[in-house]
Amino acid sequence: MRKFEKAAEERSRLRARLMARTQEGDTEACRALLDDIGPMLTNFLRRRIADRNELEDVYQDTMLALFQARHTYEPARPLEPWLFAIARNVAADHARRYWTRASVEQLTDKTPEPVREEELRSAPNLEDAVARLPEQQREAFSMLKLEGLSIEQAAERAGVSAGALRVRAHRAYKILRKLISE
Amino acid sequence: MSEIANRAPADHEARHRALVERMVADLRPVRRLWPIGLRLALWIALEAGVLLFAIYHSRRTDLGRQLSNLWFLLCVGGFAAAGVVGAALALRSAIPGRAPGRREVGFLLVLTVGSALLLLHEPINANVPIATFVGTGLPCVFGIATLALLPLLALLWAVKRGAPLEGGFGGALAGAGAFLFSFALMRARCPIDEGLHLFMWHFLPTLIGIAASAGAGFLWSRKRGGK
Repeated sequence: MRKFEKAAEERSRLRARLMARTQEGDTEACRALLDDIGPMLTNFLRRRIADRNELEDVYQDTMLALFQARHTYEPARPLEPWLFAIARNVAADHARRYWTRASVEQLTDKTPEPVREEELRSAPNLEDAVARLPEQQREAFSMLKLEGLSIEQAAERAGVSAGALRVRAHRAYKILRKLISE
Repeated sequence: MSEIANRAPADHEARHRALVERMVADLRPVRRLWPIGLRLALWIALEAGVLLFAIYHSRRTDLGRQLSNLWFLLCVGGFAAAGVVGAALALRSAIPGRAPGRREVGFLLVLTVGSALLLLHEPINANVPIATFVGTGLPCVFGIATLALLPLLALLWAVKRGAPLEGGFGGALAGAGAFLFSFALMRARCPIDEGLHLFMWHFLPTLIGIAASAGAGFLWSRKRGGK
């Protein structure tokens, strides 16, 4: 576990260095950085974008937003919180537009077939379960499992000790397990 | 790897590659934002200049005596501190991942409300004729707005230079920075230490200014496609 965290921290430092060089106009660093964050970003977004067909668009929008906001990154700080804040914002914007569009379409479309109860039961929805968590626990879960931050990074962002964050995450897992098995 | 990649790896990879190459082709060196501490220090220096202007043009003749009044000092200091906190949070709101959290915004609110409650300590004179009340109040509204203008523009410009994710929030914080500090300056400038006057012609315009700044931030971010 310790070894894994150390490797994650080292990788985070490497990304920060690549971003600093990208700000200076280094094309090789830019290419390496974008290739490195691509899979991480996709994993992050697919937990927020329900419609898989739109995931690619949001991915591209996020990459462009990161590129446009690159002057705001502070090299002394880890890259991930900066990156995920932008990604979260692009995804939220997209979701808002998506639901606005969907509600308009619903008004003009046929009434959809009601979903059978067995279908609902057969597919436990993690997103709903996460949404039902108390705020602090949801935040801890999201940072560790959705954004892939280390305990230390997540604790720093939440403004609590690593131990307190572990407790929050543990409670979140316990509640989630219960909610999903219901 | 990602779900996209599992679904259509070649397609996703090709699009990713094309996007990366386009971005690399567009890559230019960028000028990083100055550290928040430095920009905040510059803003405080600007406010110090406005303070000197306010004192120089003060209509108050008892400022020296008032500076030994603890309630007056607490009120002025509280609003000035709230202004500085607001400005610091506004600058942070323009940097992704560093936007202030509930605790920090809560601290700003507590500081503002606490300082506003100190106004209750001032005597209230309800017998002032309405014409006098309005006549003495309007110059104060003008003063609050004038003293807040430059610092507000400076903060909004600094926020715009960054990448604010929520324009309305950033605008509100910039407004809080400029108008709360302006309130403190106006306390040092206006000779009327009366509760109703201070609430009606100083505090309410301050709140309206903050709301207007939030609205401006929101409209500006909508224009450029944010929220």
